[in-house]
Amino acid sequence: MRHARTGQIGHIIDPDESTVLDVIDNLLSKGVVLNADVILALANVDLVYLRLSALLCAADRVLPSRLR
Amino acid sequence: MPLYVFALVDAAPRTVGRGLSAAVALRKVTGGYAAVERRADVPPLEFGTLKAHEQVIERLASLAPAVVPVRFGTLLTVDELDAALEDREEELREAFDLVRGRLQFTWRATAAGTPPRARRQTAPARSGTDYLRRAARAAHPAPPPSFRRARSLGRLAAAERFAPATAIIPGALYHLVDRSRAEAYASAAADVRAHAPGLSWSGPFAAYAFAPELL
Repeated sequence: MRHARTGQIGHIIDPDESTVLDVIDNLLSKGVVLNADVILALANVDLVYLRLSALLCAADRVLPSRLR
Repeated sequence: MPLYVFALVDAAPRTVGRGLSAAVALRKVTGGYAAVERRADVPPLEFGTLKAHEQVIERLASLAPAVVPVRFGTLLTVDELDAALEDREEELREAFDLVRGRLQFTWRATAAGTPPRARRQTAPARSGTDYLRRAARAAHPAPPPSFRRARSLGRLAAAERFAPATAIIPGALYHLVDRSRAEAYASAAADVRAHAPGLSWSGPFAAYAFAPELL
């Protein structure tokens, strides 16, 4: 666990000591964005290009609370 | 080439250093700056990448007064970035005002027996007032009693937020603390921890838990 060190707070944030849980909580609790490019082709001719962006996230973090 | 966005900041430091695979640049956007690097695709979801992303955020937090981290994996074209923030200057300014000069500390209950509560069927609201009360409770769930000692440190914090447990992340209580009070907070936190072995704390971090979702 990364504990704050008296005398250094406010000057140094040392990310090397953060835990896996902290990293996941800080960076992934709001989900991640996944992107993909899809090209539909026929006879080597590109016909349709799709750029997809997906938000991968726990539903209860993004849905309005009344829907939970 | 698209821009991979790390965070929004209120001022542009002279240099930020390296990002995931290229130098981090500060791009002027409505109401502030976006810390970005040019990148063709979203970085892989690996722990090493997450750590590198976090290091950029923490470096920014040590260089800029106000840092609003954005969701991991945010890859936008220049036009998309500008369009996303075009009408949100007020929202961004409020976010900067909240986190400026402040650090986040995180508390978690480590004692066993605090699994996420099972979803349960509830009876329909009996009245409009009942519905609104339920909605308010759902929007702002109260921390369980196990966080009582940690909550006592709220007097040293500028803001407090509780996130209930999910299937993979335990519930957490977040305090946003002025840098000038951070040493006093850390000292008080050590005392609380000594008397509450079921609690653990970590930090300081950038204000991840207090950043609105702007992108």
